[in-house]
Amino acid sequence: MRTEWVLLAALAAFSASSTVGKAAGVTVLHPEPGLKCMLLDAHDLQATVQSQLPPIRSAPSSNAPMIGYPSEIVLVRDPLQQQAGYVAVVRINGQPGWIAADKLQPWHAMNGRPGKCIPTLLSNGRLGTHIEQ
Amino acid sequence: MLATIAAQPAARAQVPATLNGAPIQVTPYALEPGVPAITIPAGAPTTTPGDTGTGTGSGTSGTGTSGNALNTLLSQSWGAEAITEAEALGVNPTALAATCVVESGCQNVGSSSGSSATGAFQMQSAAYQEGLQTALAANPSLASQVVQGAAGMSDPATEAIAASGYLMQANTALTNGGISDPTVLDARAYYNFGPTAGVAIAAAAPSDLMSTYISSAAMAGNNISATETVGQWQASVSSKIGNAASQSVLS
Repeated sequence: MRTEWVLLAALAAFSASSTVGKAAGVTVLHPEPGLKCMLLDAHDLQATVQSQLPPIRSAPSSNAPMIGYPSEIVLVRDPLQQQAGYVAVVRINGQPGWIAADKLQPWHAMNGRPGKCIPTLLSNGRLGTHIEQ
Repeated sequence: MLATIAAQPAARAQVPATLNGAPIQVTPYALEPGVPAITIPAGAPTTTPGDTGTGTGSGTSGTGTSGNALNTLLSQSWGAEAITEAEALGVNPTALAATCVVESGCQNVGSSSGSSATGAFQMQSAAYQEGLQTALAANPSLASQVVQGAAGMSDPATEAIAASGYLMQANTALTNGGISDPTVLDARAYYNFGPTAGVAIAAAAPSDLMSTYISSAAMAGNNISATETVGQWQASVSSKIGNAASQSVLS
C-alpha cells in the first residue's frame, strides 16, 4: 500500500511540476532592442496552410536552405538590413534568417486601430510581441 | 497522467477495449495517515458544437472539466479507439482529448448554424482531408480503420485520425514558426486561427487584445469579444481542458 501511495504522489507531483513549467504565467520581461515588427503582406495573411507562406531562409538567396516559416508578425532587424531582395529577420526562437522583402508590409493592428508593436522577450524564453493600443 | 498510463496497455496490434466511463481508479482499502484523498472528478460534457474557425470548427464552447479531458474522451464508445489511433501517430492522446472537449464536449454532433464543421472534432472538410492525408502518410496502416468518403467526418473514430493528423500539422507549423515543443494550448491557437495568427498568438503578450492579432471575422466566428485579451482567451481554453493545456502535442 505504501508503495502505491508513493507512486501516486510522485505522479501527481510530476504532473503538477510539468504544468507550472510549461504554461502558466508567461510575462513580458523587457522590450527587445534592435528589432521592429512588420506584417506579412495581405495575400499571405490569408494562408490556410503554412506551406503557402514565404519561407525564412538562412541566407539572402532563394537557393539558401529554408529554416522555417513566419507568423503574421515578422520581427526584422532595426535598422532594416536588406540584401538581394531579402530582409534580415529574427525568428521567435532567436534564430536569424532572411525573408523576401516584397512579402512584408509595415505593421498595423488587425483591428485597424492605431497602436504600437513592440518586440519583446517573454519569460518562457521566446521572442514575442507586445501591442500597445 | 494516470489515465494515459492506463490506456497504454492497449497495444497497437490488439483490438482496443471500449471503456465505459473513467478508467479504473486506485481505491485504497486503508487510508495512509497524512496522505490526502485523491479524487478524479467526472466530466460534464455538453452537446453544444463549437463555432467556426480558420482551420477547423474550432469554437471554444465545450465544457471539459479541469484535468479530465482524457476521461471525457474515454467515456465515449469510440474513445479508446481514438486514443489508440493517436498513439499510433505519435500524438499525445491528451492533446486529442482536449481538442474534442473544446470543440464539442466529445459529442458526435452535427454542424452548428452557419458552419460546415461537423462531428466530435468539428472539422471542416478541407481541414479534415488535410489531417487525414497527414495521418495516413505517417501511418498507412490506419487506412483500414477509415470510413471512406464524406461519411468519415461523421464517424468519430475516423475523424479522430484526421484530427490527430491536423494536430501533427499544428505541431510542425508551430515548430517551423520557431516554437519548440509546442503545447496543447499553442496548438489551440493554430487550430482556431490558422498558421499565421496561430503562431503569432503563441508568442503574444498576455495583456494584448486578441483583436490586434486576428481578423474581425475570426473574432466573430470564435465568439471573442472586442475587449478579450490573449491571456483571457488562453485562460478560457485552459479552464476547459485543465492541465492538458501545458502538455506537449506529441507524445
